Amino acid sequence: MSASDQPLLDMSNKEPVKSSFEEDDEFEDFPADSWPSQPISQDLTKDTNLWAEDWDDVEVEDDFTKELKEELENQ
Amino acid sequence: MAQLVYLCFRDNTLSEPFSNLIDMKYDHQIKVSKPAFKLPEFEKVQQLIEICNSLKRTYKKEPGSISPELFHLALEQLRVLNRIYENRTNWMTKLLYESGEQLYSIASKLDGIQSQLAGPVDEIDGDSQESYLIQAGRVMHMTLNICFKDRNEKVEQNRKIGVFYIGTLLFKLYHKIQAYGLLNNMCKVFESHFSEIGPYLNRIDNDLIVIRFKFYMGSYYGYEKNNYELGFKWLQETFDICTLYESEPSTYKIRYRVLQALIPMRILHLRQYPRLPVLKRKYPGAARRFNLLVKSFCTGNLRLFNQFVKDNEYYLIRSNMYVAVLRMKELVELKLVGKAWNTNGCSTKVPLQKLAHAFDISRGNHVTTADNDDDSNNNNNNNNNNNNNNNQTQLDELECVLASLISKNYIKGYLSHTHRVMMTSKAPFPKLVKPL
Repeated sequence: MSASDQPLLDMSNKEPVKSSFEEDDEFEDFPADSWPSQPISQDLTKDTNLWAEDWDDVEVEDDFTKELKEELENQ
Repeated sequence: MAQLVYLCFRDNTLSEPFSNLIDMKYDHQIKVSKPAFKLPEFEKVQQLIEICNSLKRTYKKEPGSISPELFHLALEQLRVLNRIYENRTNWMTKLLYESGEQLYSIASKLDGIQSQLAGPVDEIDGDSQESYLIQAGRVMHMTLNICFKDRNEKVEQNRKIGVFYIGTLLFKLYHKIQAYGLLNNMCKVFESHFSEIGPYLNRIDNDLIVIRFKFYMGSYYGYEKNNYELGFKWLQETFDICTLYESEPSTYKIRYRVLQALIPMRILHLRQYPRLPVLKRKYPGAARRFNLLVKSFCTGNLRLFNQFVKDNEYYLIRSNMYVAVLRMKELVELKLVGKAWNTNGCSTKVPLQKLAHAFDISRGNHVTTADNDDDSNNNNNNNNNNNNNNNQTQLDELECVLASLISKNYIKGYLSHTHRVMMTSKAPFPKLVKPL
C-alpha cells in the first residue's frame, strides 16, 4: 500500500509513549560535523506526499464525531 | 611550510597549506621563519601560527579532554584571525568559521561541565564569572561586525558573505544560552540589511550554513513576530534543502528539528497538515509529538488540543512555539462549528445553545442527556438559578469565540445576541486551505 492510500488519520492508536531519544535531542544545536559536504540528491522535488491539503473538507468518522452527532441530534 | 602559509596571505588564497592549521586535533607544528618576500602584517600571521601551534600542543597533552586553557587559546586564535581579517578579503572567511565552530564546541563543553559542577566559571585566572559561551560570543560578534562593514565593491572578495557563516554560529550560540533577546536583535539586523547581504546567500557552498540561517530567520518571523507567511516561507525553504539529504541518516536530527518548526507554520499559513502515517514512517518522533494536534485540527476535538498543549507545554515554551500553537485553537473551534452546523441540517439559523453543547462535548465537559434526565429530578430552584447564570456566561463566551471567527471571515454570518442564534449564509465556510 502506498503512503497516499493510507488513511490520513490513524484514530485507533493508543496514546504514544514518548521516546527518550528525541526528547533528549530536542534543543540540540546544529552540529557542524553531522552534515555531508554535498547533497545526496540533486532533485529538489517537494515531498507532496507528506502534506494533506484537504482540511476544508476532511471528515473523520472517529468516536468523538459519532458522539457529537448523537448528542446534538438528541438535544 | 611557513613560507607556504605566507604565500596564502600574500596571494589572498585559501589553499592546501591552511588545511588543518586551525584544527586543534590535527597535530602538526609549523616552524615560524622569516618570509622570503615582503608580507604586510607579518607579525600578526606569525602570532596566528604560534597560537595554532600552542593549541595543538595543549590538545595533544590530553586528547579528547577540554580545559579552560584550551578555551583561552581557541579564543585568542579567533581574536588574532579577526585582527588579520580586517585587512584581508573573504578568502579567510572559512578559517574564521572553522575557528568559531571549534571555539563554540570547546566553550559549550566547558559550560556543560561547569553547570554540572556548579562552581566558579573560570578556574584558570578567575577573571570572570561569565560563561565560556558568552565570552566566545563576544569575539564572534567582532568577526560579524568586520563582515558587515566591508565596502569592497568586488562581490567575490567582499567579506559580507561571512555574515552568514558567523551569524549562524552566533544564532546557535545565543539559542544555546537562551539569550533570545540577542538572537532576535541579530535577526532584526539581518532583516534590515537583507537587501545588501541577500545576494551573498546564494554564493554559499555549504548547505548547513544556509539551513541554519533560514531556520533561525523562519523561527524569528514565525514564532517571534507571528508573521506566519514569512515564517512558513523561510522554514519551508529550509526543509526543502533538508530533503536533499534525506537518504543520509546522519542528517536526521537536523531535518527532524526543522520539520518540527515547520509543521505549525504550515498549518497556520496554508492549513496544510502532515499525514500522520507518512510522518510516522519518516519522522516517528514528530508523529508522536504532533499526533494529538493533527487529530484535533481535523476533528474539532478541543479536548485533544488541550491535551496536546498540556503534554508539550515545556517543549512549546522552550522552543518559543507556545503562542503560535495557541493560535491554532481557533482553527479547531472552526472545525467544530462546521460539524455542529452540518449536524443542524446545514440550516442558516443555528441556536447558540446547540453550539454551546457541541463545545461542551468537544472539551469533554458535557454530561450526557441521560445524566441530565436523572439529575433533573433532584434539582432545586437554587441550582436552576445557578445553572441559568452559568449558561448565560457560557453563551456570552461562545459569542466571543464566534465573533472572532466571523471577524476573520472564517464564517460568513452574524450573531443575534437577543435571540442567541448565529445566522449564516448558505455556504458559510470559505475554503481556507491555500495550495502551494
